Amino acid sequence: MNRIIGIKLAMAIIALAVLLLPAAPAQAACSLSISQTTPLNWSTWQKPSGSVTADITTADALSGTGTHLYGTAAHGVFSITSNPQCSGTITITVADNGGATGVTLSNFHLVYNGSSVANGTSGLTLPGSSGKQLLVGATATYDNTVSTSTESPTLKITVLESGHSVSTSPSETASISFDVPLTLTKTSDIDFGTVSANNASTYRISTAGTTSVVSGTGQFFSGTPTASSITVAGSTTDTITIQATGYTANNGVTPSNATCSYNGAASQACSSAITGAAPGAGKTLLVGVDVATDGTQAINTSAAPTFTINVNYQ
Amino acid sequence: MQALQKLMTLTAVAGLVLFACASDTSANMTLVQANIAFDQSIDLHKNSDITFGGFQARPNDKVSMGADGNMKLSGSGEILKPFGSPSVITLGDARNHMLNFIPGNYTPGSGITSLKAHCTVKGTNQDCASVPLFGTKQSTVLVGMDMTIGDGMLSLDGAAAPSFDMSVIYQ
Repeated sequence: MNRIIGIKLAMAIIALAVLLLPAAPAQAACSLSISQTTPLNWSTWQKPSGSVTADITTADALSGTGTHLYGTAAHGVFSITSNPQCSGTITITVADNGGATGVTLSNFHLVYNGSSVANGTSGLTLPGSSGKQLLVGATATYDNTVSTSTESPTLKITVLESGHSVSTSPSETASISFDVPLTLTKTSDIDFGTVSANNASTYRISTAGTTSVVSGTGQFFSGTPTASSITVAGSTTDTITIQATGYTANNGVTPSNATCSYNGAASQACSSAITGAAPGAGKTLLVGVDVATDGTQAINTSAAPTFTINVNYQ
Repeated sequence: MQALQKLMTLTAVAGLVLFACASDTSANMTLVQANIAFDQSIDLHKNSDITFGGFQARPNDKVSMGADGNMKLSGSGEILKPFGSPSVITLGDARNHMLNFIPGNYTPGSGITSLKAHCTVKGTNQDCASVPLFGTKQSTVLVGMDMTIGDGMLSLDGAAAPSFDMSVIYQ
């Protein structure tokens, strides 16, 4: 009987002791997070007829079998953090996560905490609560099923902590746009007609095809003066620049001071780049120029000096 | 040795593939040609202006003098001297060219209300103001004209003589 009482008393003391002990704090779990600072963006590429690639490095260098049209590409920038309960190291793996018709992502280029690392590398330093930066480049493989607009492929970035096998795998959205290439179709060259032989003068033809003598005593004799006409076609959204370069003399005749009238706008000098509206299905570019004759042009001869009209997406 | 050559070839091909980087921008260009031809200017010299013969005109009479100097009068006036002197213009070498003769810039005056020029290249019977002509080494152009007398009196002194331009251009 006393023994039973003794046991009950011991149990009561133990229970009391347990109740009186201060509660131990609950153990917090390791937590990882990834936030996107700059989305991965290939800018705008030409819609292809077959499957091609566009690659961007973490230094924003572009390459691939596709044709870059315009825009500023940027590698992805992400911040990875871990709370103090995490331990060990981390493994970073990036994979394609779908989301865009005709576009797949592969060949990820990673720079973690300032050092280039292979995709899937383990043993990386824990980012800690202050976080560490992850830079991401990649190859986008795309085909003719892409639309001439912006596609939003996604990538899954998986960070695995070794101490507690905790991981996070958010899906991050990238972007790559597609457009049609610029095409130039020359309808006519410039024609000054016939002017004075053996006479050093400078002649001008405007974008409207009107001729004049800029300097000298030369004269226009005959012919139907014609400005050059070029049809520019391409993007319906991206504006263009137009510039005349590469003036090349012929038979003592030197061209200079090209003028351009694009889409009905007023004529303006285009030896320096000028801007114009998105060409869409086709807009007309009229081109005039000055030519200086050095006076050595014999009777019944001709000359064909040239220059180049460059049209680029902005 | 063959293996080495193959390896070198593959390396070269790989190098070319790696070198085929995407361009930064899509550049499109077209070469524009500025065609221009050269020829001699038409050497033109006026030897004399038009001088009509004598006539007594009434208002609205029409007096004509052909390139041959023969005068006609339509109206109630009277021709006193039936021959005048057409303007004589000599042209330089215009071989291998078709020439257009274009009168214009008619300036009435001195009681003359309207003018119309006509011309002939010596040796042809064609009205050069109407039909293009082949140039020759040297040509003489004879220019006559029709004129209409106004309602008022003819001013004989101190008034600007009526005039017009005769342009000769390559066709």
